Amino acid sequence: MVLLVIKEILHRKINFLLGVLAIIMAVALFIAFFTSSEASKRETIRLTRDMGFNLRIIPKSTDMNDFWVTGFSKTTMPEKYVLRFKKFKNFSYAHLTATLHKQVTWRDKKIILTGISPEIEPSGKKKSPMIFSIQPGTVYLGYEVAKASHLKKGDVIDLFGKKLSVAKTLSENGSDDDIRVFAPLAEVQDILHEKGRINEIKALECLCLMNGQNDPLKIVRQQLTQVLPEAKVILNQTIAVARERQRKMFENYFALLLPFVVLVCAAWVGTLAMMNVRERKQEIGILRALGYSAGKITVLFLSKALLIGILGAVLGFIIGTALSLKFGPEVFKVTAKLIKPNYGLLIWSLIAAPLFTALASFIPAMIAVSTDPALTLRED
Amino acid sequence: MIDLQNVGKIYHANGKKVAALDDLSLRIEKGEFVVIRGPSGSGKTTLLLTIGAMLKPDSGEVAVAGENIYSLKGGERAKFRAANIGFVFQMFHLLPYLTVWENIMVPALENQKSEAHEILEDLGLAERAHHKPFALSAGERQRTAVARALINHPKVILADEPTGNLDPENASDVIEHLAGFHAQGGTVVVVTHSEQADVYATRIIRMRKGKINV
Ligand SMILES: Nc1ncnc2c1ncn2[C@@H]1O[C@H](COP(=O)(O)OP(=O)(O)OP(=O)(O)O)[C@@H](O)[C@H]1O
Ligand SMILES: [Mg+2]
Repeated sequence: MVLLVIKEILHRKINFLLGVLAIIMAVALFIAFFTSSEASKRETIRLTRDMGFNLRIIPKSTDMNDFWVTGFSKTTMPEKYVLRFKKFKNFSYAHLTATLHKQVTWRDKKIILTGISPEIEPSGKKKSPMIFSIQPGTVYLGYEVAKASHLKKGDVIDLFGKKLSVAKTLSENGSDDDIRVFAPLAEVQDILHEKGRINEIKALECLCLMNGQNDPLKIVRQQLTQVLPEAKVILNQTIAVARERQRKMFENYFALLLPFVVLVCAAWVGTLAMMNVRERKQEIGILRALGYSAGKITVLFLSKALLIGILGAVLGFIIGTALSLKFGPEVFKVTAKLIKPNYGLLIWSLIAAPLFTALASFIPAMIAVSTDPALTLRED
Repeated sequence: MIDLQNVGKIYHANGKKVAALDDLSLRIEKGEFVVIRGPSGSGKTTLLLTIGAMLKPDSGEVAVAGENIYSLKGGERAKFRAANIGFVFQMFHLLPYLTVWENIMVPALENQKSEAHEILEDLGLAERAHHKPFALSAGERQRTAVARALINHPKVILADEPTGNLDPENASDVIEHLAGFHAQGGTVVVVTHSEQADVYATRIIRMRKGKINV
């Protein structure tokens, strides 16, 4: 039986290869899309973060005029507020960071001293950190700060009596980040005599709100009243929304393309199977005469279809992954490293593609077994 | 061994009815070597396929080896064919992508390797076992088809003009192999114009317009 299938395939290679080719193209398309769309999602978040944090949670009593003029809140709140977010599930806040900012003068220049705590995730969310975390005893210097003082990585600086080593000098950002000195939160609290206090929690909106018609700000505010009524939230929407829209548009195009690809493929595979059946009419008659039942003949054709599906799935996965590894990084520069083979997709294609080819070949197989074998045998 | 009772088969071709088998009754005993002759279109092939459980007649009863074959379900009938009937066709009908050996093994029910060797040896195909049909002479192809028909030790061999595409030498060779099967107690029904078969025939039947000429 197996021999019969394999030998026939080798005998009529072209028919088989064309079938495999169709599946390869379809699977590769899906794989390339899903592999890079995962990266594209991350890209959106990363880019958003690079534009500054998406959500800014500040004390309720903050004077907004002051806030916008100076860039930070003059009012502080307890650092432990941030822990409240830990208990909440299905929350649209992610990557929360407690921060403390203040304008100070250092080496005759006004800078913003910024303390950053390690990220906190609302429960049920396990995510890789999105922002840098600063090791105790070290600082990151904004571009202008480093330039003005000719400081570089490894230098030790005196920051209001604390000896800290420069772990990194940041590249030019084009925002007030360029005049910041980033240090661990505890150090900054120490320096500013603000033990246990912060004036801003930075967070990312998880993008789960952006697909609906609902106003994301409304939802975010609602959630905040539940967790932290002592604070208010500012949502920097524009960039995130634009990015997300772009991604959604891409997905929509794909959704439009998808049924088309599936249909063309089904027609292609079905036609090839039909050609195969026609070509093998006599063979089917002989096999029947030799004692093969209709069921066995069906199995013969369907196993060929399954082989096409399996082979197409494996090769399509390899090609699709290779394509997204090769071209993905050019499209998604920041998250290039996040584009990696997704073996879950391989399993899915190994299920879907053979099922698909079997279905597409089903009618031809039925025609194969229902034609009267006696007819074909008489055609001498 | 074979018992047909009032068998009728009508084909419909462009609105016309053709009675390929017309109220035909025929009894063939175990161990007979029956030669069937008749003009083209007289229903010889139709008769063989009907006996061979391949073509359900429109009317009448067909019993082979004590089994009312057309009351069997499709799968059962396929099993019946595999176990009881060996077919040989004019056009050989080998599978082009299989070697001689593999072609012979296609209908094999159990692992009959040792017997397959014997049969190949008998038919002078041992040297050719691993060649594909395109590399064989017509005689070798037909001997392969005969070997394939023999592999399951059928009760009946049905041969439809098995010598039609062979030169006289190869033709008599094939007839002799059918005779060999007959000599071991097998039943043979062969449609042939060749007179070489007459030597072995226990009976010669002439057909005409779907009936047996008496
Ligand atoms: N599928 C079919 N449709 C219509 N008519 C058919 C069909 N098959 C056979 N016939 C007709 O049935 C009759 C008997 O055909 P059959 O093939 O049994 O004859 P035969 O004796 O084997 O002829 P030959 O010697 O040419 O092989 C013929 O008249 C043929 O035209
Ligand atoms: Mg005929």
